[in-house]
Parts: sequence; C-alpha cells; structure tokens
Amino acid sequence: MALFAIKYSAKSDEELMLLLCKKEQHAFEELYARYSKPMLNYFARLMNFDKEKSQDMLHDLFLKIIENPQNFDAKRKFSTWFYALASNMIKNEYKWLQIRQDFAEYELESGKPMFENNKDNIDQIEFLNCLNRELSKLDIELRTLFTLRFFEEKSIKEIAEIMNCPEGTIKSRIFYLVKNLSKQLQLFKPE
Amino acid sequence: MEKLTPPVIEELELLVKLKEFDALNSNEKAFVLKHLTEVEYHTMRKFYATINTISLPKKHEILPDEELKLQLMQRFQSNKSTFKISSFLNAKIPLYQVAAAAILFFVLGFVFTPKSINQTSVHDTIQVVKYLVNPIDTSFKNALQSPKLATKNVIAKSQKQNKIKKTEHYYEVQPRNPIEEYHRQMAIMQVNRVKREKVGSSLANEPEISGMIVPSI
Repeated sequence: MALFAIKYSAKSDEELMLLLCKKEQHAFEELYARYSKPMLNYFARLMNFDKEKSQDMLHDLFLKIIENPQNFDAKRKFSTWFYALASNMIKNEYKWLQIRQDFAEYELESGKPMFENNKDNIDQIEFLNCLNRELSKLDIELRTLFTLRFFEEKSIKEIAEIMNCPEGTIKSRIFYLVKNLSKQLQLFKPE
Repeated sequence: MEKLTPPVIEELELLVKLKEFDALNSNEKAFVLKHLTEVEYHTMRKFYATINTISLPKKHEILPDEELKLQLMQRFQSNKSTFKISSFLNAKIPLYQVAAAAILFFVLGFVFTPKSINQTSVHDTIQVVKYLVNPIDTSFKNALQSPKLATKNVIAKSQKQNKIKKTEHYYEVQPRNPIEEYHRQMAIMQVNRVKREKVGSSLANEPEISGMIVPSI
C-alpha cells in the first residue's frame, strides 16, 4: 500500500490542517513536528523563560487544533493564524499574571542574570540580558511585537495579521520601540 | 514630538539599516536630522546591527517534552471517537442559510394552515336520550326517522298516571352519522321488547309502534 501512502512531509501547513479536520493522525504529528519547538520557544521568550508554563501553553495550543481544527480559516496562512492563536493565549495569560515583575524577581532571587556569560559571546549575552530587562518593563503587546519582529523574524504583513493591526501601525510601533530601546540600552557611547 | 507617517518611518529605517551617519548625503542628512538627532541615529543603527547578529544561545532553547506529545496523541485518539457528534454540534451554518430556512418555515406556516388540511368534523348536539321504561303503557308518537328534519321526538304516554310524559331527544344528524344508525337500532330493540311483553299480540293494533320500524339507511 506504500504506493498510495500520503507523503505528509511534502504537504503544506494548510493542507495538513485540512487533513487534520478529517482526523488524520499523521497530519497532526507532522504539524507538531514542524511547530512544537518554535512555538515553545516563542512562549518561553514571552513568559520569561518559564519552561513549565511554556510547556503547558504549548499543550493548550495544540489542544485547540485537536479539538476545533475547523476553526482554522483556510484562506489564511497557517503559521500566521497559529501565531495569532498563541499571541492571544499569551495576552490572556498576562491578564492573570503579573509577569513583568517576574523577570526582575528572577534576577533578584537568583542573584544571577537570565543568560550566563561565556567567553565567546560576552557582548551578546550582556546585550540579551539588558534587552530582556528592558522588554520586561514593556506592555505585553509591545513585547509580542518585538518578539515577532526580531526573534521570530516575521514580516510586517504577517505581524499585522497576527496582531490584527494595520501594517502602518505596526511599522510605526516598531520604529518607536527600537528608538526607545536603543536609547535605554545605551548601545552607542560617543567618544 | 511630531508623529511620523509610515512612509517617513520606512525611509528612516532603511537609512538607519544601510548607512552610517557620516555616509549620508546632504539631502539624506537633512531628512534624518528633521526627525532624529545624530545620537539617536547612531544608537538605532547600533541596535539593528546587534539584534541582527544575535541569536538565542542554544542552551536556552527549550525542547518540547516527549510526554507532552504522548498526552496530545491520547487526546487526539479520544477526540477521534467523539468526532461525529462533536462535528455535528460544532458545525457552522452560514447566516444566510439560517435566514432562508426561517423564511421558508414562515411561508409554509401560511400555506399549510389547519383549514387547508382536508378534514371532516362532525358536530352533534345530543340531549340525553331516555328510553321508555314502561313498555306496556307506552305508545310512540311519530316515527324516529323523518326524512327531512334532523329532529326526532318520542312521546311516551303513561297509562297509570294518565298524563303525557314527554321525553324527547334531539340531535343534529350529519350525513352518515352513526348516531342515526344507533338510534334506529335502539328503536328496533324497543319494538321487540314491546312485542315480547305483549306475547301473542300482534302489532296490528299498535300502528305507532310498528311505525317505528324504520328501514336501515
């Protein structure tokens, strides 16, 4: 029967979602293989690297597509829709938790920065720690925006779809965000 | 502070990413300085340069738990068994279809009124029929059947009290009304009873009684 076997790895995300609507288990497995790691790290970045919480949120995210795969709008790009779903979950989570405090608390309690330095990339680690500290002070909307743009490397158009905002607004927000962050981080030291 | 428009932002961002401040030509420099200070330009440029080279250290990358996948697969399997009913309950019906169905039912409500259904109703007004209890002394006046009218009268005469005791029954007869047939049967029974009690007698002297024998319908 191998002749008739569906090659799931060759299918697009959107095709896999359609197969998932027909309860094709392999379609789910393929989507899980493609998205579990990036989505987990997306959650982690926005949940101050709380691994347990991120795993829980990843579980809930995939549960949504198991239970209601028909909610996927076939006209949309799957990754955009999936990120939007995840972003909404994060937004809801922030309503219940005061995560912004957690990052500062982590450093206070542990007495060490989130990313530990090593000899090779000392500047980068320093930068990441400072960046995370500054990001943790921001509103969740801006943190999500920053994460999508600079860590997930999404296009402006995709971010606009994920965050349900006009592209112009996204561009403008990113510009001012970068301007403020770079000022806070004091990256440029005039001689 | 002046709010920048998206085209201005795009152009500024492009210059920041591409050129050092000193590499800007006079027009570009004038444009940049209209919206940013030189220090702001430098810091933004440094930020873009750093963020584009940075990546999250590998050791901080998280991998999904194997157990998580197993849990999800179990959930998938259990969900699969309840798929049909849940998909039926969660089925999305377009609003226009719901509206069309509502209009259809509304129109059908007018077309198929109760009146339109072919049905026969029988209206009977029946007064209590009291049959004679004193057959010997009883005489019957008027035949039960009258061809035209639907009203029947039976007059019973009590010989003992020598006064007229009137018992009447009244009913409207619809065509093929079983009441009529029932009444005819009862009348025949009465006649037979009178005949039995007046053993040996003929009904020749009882024209009223014999008149009660009516032909069946």
